[in-house]
Amino acid sequence: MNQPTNSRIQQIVIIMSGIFILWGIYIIVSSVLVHNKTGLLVVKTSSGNSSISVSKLSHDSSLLGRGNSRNRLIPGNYLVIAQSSGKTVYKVVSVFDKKTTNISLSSSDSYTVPSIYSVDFVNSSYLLAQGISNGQLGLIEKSLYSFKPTAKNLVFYDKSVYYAPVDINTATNFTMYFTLSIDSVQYKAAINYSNINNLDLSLYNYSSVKVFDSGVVSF
Amino acid sequence: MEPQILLDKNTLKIVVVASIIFIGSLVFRQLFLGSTSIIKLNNGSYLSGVISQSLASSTLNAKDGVNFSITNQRFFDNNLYALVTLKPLNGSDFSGFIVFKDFSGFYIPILGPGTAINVNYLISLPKDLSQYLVTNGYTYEPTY
Repeated sequence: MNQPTNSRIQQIVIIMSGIFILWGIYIIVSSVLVHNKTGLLVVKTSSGNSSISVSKLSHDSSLLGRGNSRNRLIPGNYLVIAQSSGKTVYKVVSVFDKKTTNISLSSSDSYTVPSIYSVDFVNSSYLLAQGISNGQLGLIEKSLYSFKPTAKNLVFYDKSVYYAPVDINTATNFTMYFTLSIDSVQYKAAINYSNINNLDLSLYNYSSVKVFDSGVVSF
Repeated sequence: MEPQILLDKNTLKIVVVASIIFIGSLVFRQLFLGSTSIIKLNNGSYLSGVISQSLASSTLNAKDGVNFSITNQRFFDNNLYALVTLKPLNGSDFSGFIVFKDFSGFYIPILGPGTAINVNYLISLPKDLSQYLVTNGYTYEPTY
């Protein structure tokens, strides 16, 4: 009775072995094909918990991993984005078949729309200390930014601030003068205002030539 | 007495060869490809990929048609800028708009997602785009 049972088991073992042999061959062949038809994209980020994703035009995106990632992609140009704590950094990469593309994403790989918030206003408090309101300071910064939207650094000079003399009992207009530098170029500024909600800012260059007038701005 | 299962020599040889080939193929794959996954990107609309990336969180890869749909897509300044407005789907909160700028042939999200942008950014945007944002009420004045 054992003979036919063993023979059947041997047949099953041989069939299973054949399946495993074919499976193994399939793994080898598919690995070679994948290797030849894809490239390896290695992404490193400066933040360990960055969410890394990839996309290309007219295609969906895919998450690659967190922090660092190693993935195979078919050759082409891709947009890799890493996001962490609301900050987005990106790089456009080209993936080539049979090759490894290494990229590193850091905070310098970002784009910020230039705005007044990109400007470093230094010593703004000097103006507040001379009696202008926070709103007026905002108007001054906005006016100076519209004079030079590419400015990076703007410094107000403390001891330069003074008011034009007025009769405090009758005056309805006040003029404050101060000196400032915009990206190391020095200017003299005059602000004229009738109340704490408006002002008119004028800028003069080193030759005392008026180079900018904001007109009356208010909030 | 349990019945004894005996494999003959040839069958044993086949089992050994099959095992070597199968285990060898796994080792080969590991050495050849490493522990990497293969990413295939499905076809989508022109900007669906980068929109998904803009909305992606660490746990969710937002999908066009699943988590959001594009209700409007406009290009400005000779296609250098694009603005898309989104509608949330399936209980997501992906509404509002995103502004993109073309860098090296790819649109990068530069403002949003959100429902309004600070007017102080308008000065850096092309006129046609900033006018569109103002006209459609997509801006707000900051408070001092």
